[in-house]
Amino acid sequence: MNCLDYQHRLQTEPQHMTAEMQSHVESCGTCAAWTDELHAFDARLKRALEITVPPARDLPLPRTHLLPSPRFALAASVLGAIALTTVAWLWFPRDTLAAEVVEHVEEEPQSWLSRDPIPQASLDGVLKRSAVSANFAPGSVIYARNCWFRGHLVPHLVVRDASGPVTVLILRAEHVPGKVTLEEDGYNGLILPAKAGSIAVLSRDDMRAEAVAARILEAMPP
Amino acid sequence: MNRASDEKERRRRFDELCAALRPDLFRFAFWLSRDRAIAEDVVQEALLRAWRAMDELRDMKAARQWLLTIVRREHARLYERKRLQTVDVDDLVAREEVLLAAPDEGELEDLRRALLQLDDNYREPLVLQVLMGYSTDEIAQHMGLNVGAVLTRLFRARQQLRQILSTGAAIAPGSAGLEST
Repeated sequence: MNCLDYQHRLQTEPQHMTAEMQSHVESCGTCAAWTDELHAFDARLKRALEITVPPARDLPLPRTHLLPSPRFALAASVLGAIALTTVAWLWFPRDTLAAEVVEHVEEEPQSWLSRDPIPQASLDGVLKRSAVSANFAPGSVIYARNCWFRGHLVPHLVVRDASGPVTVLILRAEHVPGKVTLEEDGYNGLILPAKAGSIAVLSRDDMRAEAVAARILEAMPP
Repeated sequence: MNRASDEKERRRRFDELCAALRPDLFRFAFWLSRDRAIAEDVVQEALLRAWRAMDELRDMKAARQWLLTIVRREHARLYERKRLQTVDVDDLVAREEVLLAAPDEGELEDLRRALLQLDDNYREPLVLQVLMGYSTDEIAQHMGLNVGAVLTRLFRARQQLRQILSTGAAIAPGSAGLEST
């Protein structure tokens, strides 16, 4: 390792010193002085970033439980359930899980803009962080990140298909009894049971979602 | 335990979380937006969203990362909604003078001015690393980038900061340092 390598690496990660770097700095006075200067600069930088925080504003939190008495609660629950079932039967509102999948995808519009395949190592890292195993065709995934979804870190992928991008969420903690189709806000897709949990696939063409879902399920080992 | 006390307990836990993490959230929002009023709005909205989704947070050790992610999304959402305009750095400095130069921190004012001039793509990973103590992997995950891109941005961030401090002017993004690390 030479001085340039050492300084380049330390400037990128000032708190990360490998054995090789340690060995270099112990034998190089210039780099030792440079290291002290860099650490002093970073300490000032941290202080500069620690701006004064204004007092907290009042936070009017909505109540999450509104049940004044057990008897009233029971009656309200029964009536509520009947009303909800009726509404559900009449208007077929979106499934909650499906709705959350669409909402999540809508909140990451930049995911649809990706064009180039992401490096295999990055994809592996995303899958590993969510404890998912899958063997995708090289170059087929153009967006991959770990996202919070219902309290779990899940892989959010965009797979390149012949006619455009298709979003895939691998939901190990969500179980569905069978195929759930969704069609709203301009998205078509489906949620399918997988070997562990389920997968959600969204596109603007439901036929493509079907085809991609089949490929994703094949790519996931038992 | 009945529902009323459940609610009370939930509220107590949330208040504790806010008290502990609000400084980090505000500072992160400020360095994203470079505007104190926007930062306060972003934190307020993020905390409301977090309150509604708090049952999703199973591991309290992940609370800080979870909340910072919500702040980042809330900032992006606000940016999309309001289509915030690009502002002149001198205007920013004048507007945020109180924050930038607290009475006992005069020596840091130049550094804060330089941070305000830093390219957005470089400032965020630097804040996450230096202020939040994130590892490179965590920054990559948070920003949806690969590790190599994060390393490049961190390298360039420090290089650009030094350039601004020595000459008073920012260098164009992409012109500093190596393409990859």
